[in-house]
Amino acid sequence: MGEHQTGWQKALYEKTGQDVYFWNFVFLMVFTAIEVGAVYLSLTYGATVFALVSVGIVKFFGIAAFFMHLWDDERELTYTFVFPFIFVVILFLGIAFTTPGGVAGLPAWCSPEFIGSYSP
Amino acid sequence: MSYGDHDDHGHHGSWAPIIASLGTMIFLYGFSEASMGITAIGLVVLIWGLFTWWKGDLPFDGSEKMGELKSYGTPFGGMNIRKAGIWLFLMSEVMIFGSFFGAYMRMRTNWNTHWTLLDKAQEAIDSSLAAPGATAKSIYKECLSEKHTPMITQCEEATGGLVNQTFWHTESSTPVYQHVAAEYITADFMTLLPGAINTFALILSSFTVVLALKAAKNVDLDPKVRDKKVRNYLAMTLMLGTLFLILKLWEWNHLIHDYDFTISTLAGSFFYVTTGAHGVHVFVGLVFLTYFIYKAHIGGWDHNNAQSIEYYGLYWHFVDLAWVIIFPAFYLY
Amino acid sequence: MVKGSELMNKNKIRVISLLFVIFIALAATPQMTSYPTGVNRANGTTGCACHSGGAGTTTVIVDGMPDSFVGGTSYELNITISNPNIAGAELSSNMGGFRLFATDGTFSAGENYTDLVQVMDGGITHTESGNDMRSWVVVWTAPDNEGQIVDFTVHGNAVNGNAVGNIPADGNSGDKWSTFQASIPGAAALGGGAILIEQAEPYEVAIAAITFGIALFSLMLVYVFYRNNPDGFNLNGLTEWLKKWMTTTDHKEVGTLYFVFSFLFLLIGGIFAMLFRLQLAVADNDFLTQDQYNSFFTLHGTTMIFLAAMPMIAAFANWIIPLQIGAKDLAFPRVNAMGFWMLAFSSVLLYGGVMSGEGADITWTMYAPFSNSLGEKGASAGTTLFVAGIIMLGISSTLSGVNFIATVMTMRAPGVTWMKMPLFTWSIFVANAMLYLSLPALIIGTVYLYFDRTIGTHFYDAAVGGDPILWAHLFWYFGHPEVYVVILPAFGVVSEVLSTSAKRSIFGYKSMVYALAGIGVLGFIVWGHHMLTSGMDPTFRLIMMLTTMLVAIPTGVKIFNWLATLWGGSLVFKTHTLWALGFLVTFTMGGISGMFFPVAGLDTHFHDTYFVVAHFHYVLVGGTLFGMFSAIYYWYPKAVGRKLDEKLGLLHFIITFIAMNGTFWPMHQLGIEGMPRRYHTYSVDSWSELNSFITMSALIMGFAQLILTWNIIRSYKYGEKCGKDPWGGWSLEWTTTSPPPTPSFHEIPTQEDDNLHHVESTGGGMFSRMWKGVEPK
Repeated sequence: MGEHQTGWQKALYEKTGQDVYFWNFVFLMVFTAIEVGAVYLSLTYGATVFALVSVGIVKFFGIAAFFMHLWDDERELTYTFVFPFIFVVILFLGIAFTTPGGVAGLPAWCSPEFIGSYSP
Repeated sequence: MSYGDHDDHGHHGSWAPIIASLGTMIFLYGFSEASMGITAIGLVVLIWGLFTWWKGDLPFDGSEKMGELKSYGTPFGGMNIRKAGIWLFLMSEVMIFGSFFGAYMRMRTNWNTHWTLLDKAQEAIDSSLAAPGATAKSIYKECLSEKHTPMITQCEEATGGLVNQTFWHTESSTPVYQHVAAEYITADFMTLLPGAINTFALILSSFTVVLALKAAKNVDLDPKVRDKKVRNYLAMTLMLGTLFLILKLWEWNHLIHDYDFTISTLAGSFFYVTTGAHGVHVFVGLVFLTYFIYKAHIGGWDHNNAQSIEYYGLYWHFVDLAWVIIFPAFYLY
Repeated sequence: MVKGSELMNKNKIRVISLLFVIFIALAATPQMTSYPTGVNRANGTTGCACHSGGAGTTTVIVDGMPDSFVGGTSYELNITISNPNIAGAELSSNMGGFRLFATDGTFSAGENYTDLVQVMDGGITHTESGNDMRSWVVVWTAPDNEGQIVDFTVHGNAVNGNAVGNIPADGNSGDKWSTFQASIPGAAALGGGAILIEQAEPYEVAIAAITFGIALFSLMLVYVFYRNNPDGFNLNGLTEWLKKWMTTTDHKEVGTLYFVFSFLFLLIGGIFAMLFRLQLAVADNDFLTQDQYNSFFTLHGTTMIFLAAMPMIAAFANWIIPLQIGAKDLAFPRVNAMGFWMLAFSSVLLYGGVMSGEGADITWTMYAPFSNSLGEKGASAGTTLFVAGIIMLGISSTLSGVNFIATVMTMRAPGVTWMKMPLFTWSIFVANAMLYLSLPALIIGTVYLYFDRTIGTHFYDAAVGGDPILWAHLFWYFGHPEVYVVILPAFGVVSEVLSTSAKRSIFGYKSMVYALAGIGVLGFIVWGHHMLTSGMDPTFRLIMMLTTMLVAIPTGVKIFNWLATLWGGSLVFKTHTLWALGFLVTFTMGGISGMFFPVAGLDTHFHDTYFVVAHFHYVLVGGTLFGMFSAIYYWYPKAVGRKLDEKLGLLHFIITFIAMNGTFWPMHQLGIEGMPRRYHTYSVDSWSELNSFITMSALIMGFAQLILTWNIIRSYKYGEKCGKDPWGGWSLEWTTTSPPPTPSFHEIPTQEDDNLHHVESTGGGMFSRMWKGVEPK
């Protein structure tokens, strides 16, 4: 933990008087502000999504790497944490990003016209 | 998650598992039968079970006799088993929130409805309702040209009313398309404010947990100062977490009463259940925190057993992590 | 010890019995025939007065007779005669006649039959124009006196029509008649002991059976407690003893709890299965109502998967994993105990609805939008509790999952490296990893469903844009890994048992491990094959077809490795070996029938037919259950210190194996013929024969499990005592005493290389040694 950090983290501490957790905290706050700001900048649809996704990834990294100190811990823990994301991706591909083949051909209970009766 | 006594002279039983399970059953039974009383009793029994559990852990001093076992062999050799355990537990949490997002994205990507849209566009062309020269794809694009949602009026024009009649409306003239929470939340800054403050509160609370851990591990500090510091940082975390929950309930109340955004729509169901599930994670974290604060209050933390705070922190940071994704996905976009 | 020659004889008997079983099962099952006309009630001797043709092979069937009559009520009776040898006249339409008498009540013509039948001499018969057919509808109005029993006699005549054309001499020649008789009691005549078995309320039967089971179980608990220490028996000790079990965190004791729980629910699930098999035994049966049938097969499925198969796997995992990897206990003993108690209490929620007569009727797949609908057309009221129970099961499996994964990853003793870990541990590890990563999808799906049913969200309600297919996706994202979760541990057991019984290390250990891991990963990208008919993305459908077929490769690798293990080894025929061999046969058949489903075109035909039922019962009963039975016989001595009785075991195996094939093999044919699953009855008479055969086999299979129950109870005190290693196993669990101490190892042991442990196998091929019954030194 904090006491025996090395390399750039130590340099950061010596230079600023604050350790990496503090700067990570500041960094996350700033990015949250950017996130909220991006929505009000009346960007295009694509740019908004891009901004939100990229800021989300950056903040995710900040928390996982420093608050959860995966950066300093054994690599095995990072693998443990990343491993389920493979299955999340499979789940996204299968559930979120597939198209029902012929919506018109689906049974009635699966169409938007469905009003709650099952009589065949 | 401690291990109990492992000398050879016998095995220490625990009433906690059976009490907590009984509480869960009563809780779910009460909820199923819509009985607030039974639900509350169940919750009390469940928390009683958890406290029974922690009571056995209070004297935990970080020694192997008290259950802090080291792992051996690949992949976690030399690490505390509890640390491996909490990371393995977080794998499940990743899948939990992954499933929430998968289901939510299925709604947001709209593949289901978009296919119908293309279908209807083609139908409009076939029956000459659409403007001359239009293709199914051009109508589709026109319908989706707005930022958030397909605009009903545009689709109506492009398809000669076909979409409006048969697709966006059911027989009872309720709009089928679901407006998502972000439309209401970002429309007014005052509505967004609680969500934004919550984001700051959670990040700040993550930071205070780290500070508590650092204080507990600091051998240079006088024990009395140390205990006080640990307790105060943890109490700060508890306050920030409580603030989070209060603001969230306030914001739900606002959305329901001022915007009529309720669980009676699909988007509303997703919004309230997903943010609610995150709220439950926060609540569980706060229940755990009360035990940690109590133990800090009686001076139970030192550098030998402070890793418990670290493992709690991992959970708490993960809750923060989930919020970092939920906030843009549900509040901003 | 038994002498060599006796052993040879014993083995020879076993081999012959095994071959006999397989021969009978394979040869007899598909060709079994029943009466060609279904239920053939009676052939009589006294016939119609108007025809002098002889009594013969004609069949008379009267449909629509009540089990008991209510005074003044009219019953529509359908009289049908048939004779395969008399086709009826070609020229005319003179085909048959009937005459029906009853000791009381009045007759009249059925609707549309007023000109075709007439009342005559206190009975009813056909008219002149009514003899052009072989089926009539008449109405019988019951007498007011319900306290009597009314006897019916009907004569039916199959006419060949050769009297047409005024050739009187030929009149009655060649006609065949017969008689059918029946007695129908009035409602009041049913008092006392005259209750018909069909009239027992099936819910009451189920509840009575469960209550009886629980009572028996409680008695057993007291008995077991008593036998533990017959001299010091007192009831104060009983509460102490119960407290010990309720608060235990020891992996062996929790494992025992898991085992007892799962065995109890295996029997309860079996009772449900037998009840609805009775309903399906004949066409148009009404033993169970639709609602009862629906909730019974729902509870059968859920019980067998979640309350029988998985807890039994958890029982062996609890018992054996720490012993096999040389750990003192599991990584998180209290979490482990909580996993069990969550499971135990969830069963109360799952069964809560049945007790109130409103059992869940949504199948174990819980498909939306039926499952999330309330009211008249929706699922029954007990469904809400059922769904709550499923959420609790999810919590339970998550808790035990994190425990086993952590234990295997962090607590392996020196020498138990990843590539020297016993295959049972490997299989539990892979199965739990799969379960652990797929369960969240089910939990989220059921939470959505639960909120749809309780607080009124609309996740699966298409009326407001909800998406029922989302449920199918979330369920099967969990559901397909789940079926591997229940089969992989059986793979592990069979690997252990076969290598021990063949007295050699498993063939191709590394490929076995890679196959397990391969199934583990592939299992996550095949769930779409359950939804091929749901209107998925065609591309996704194609991917799922290919990946599903790919699963056959690692599975095939395992099967061939098992065969190769047998080939080079010298097989000893213990009961657990028989179960493992039975597993090889039935699981392979189930695996092959499974390969029809990934093909989307074939699946469109087979979807929701009994072919599917046949397939997954072959892999779940013939696979998982056989594997678990093998494990019971294999590890019982380790847990108790006494062996199970081998003779009873052999009997249990033979009966179960034959009956299992008799139950599920004919379902393939029914499925191909198009019999739909999940229907409470069917109207196709030609399916009756196979179905009654299935029902008989199912009952036999169900009652055969009592042998195992008796064996387990009896051997607890009277079984043959055994030492550390009764079967010659090599892994670490055999190095500790039977039963093992607590904690399970005082000193962390070191595992040797398994290949050093085994003696060289004796010469000769597998079959010759099987035949000679050679026992290696």
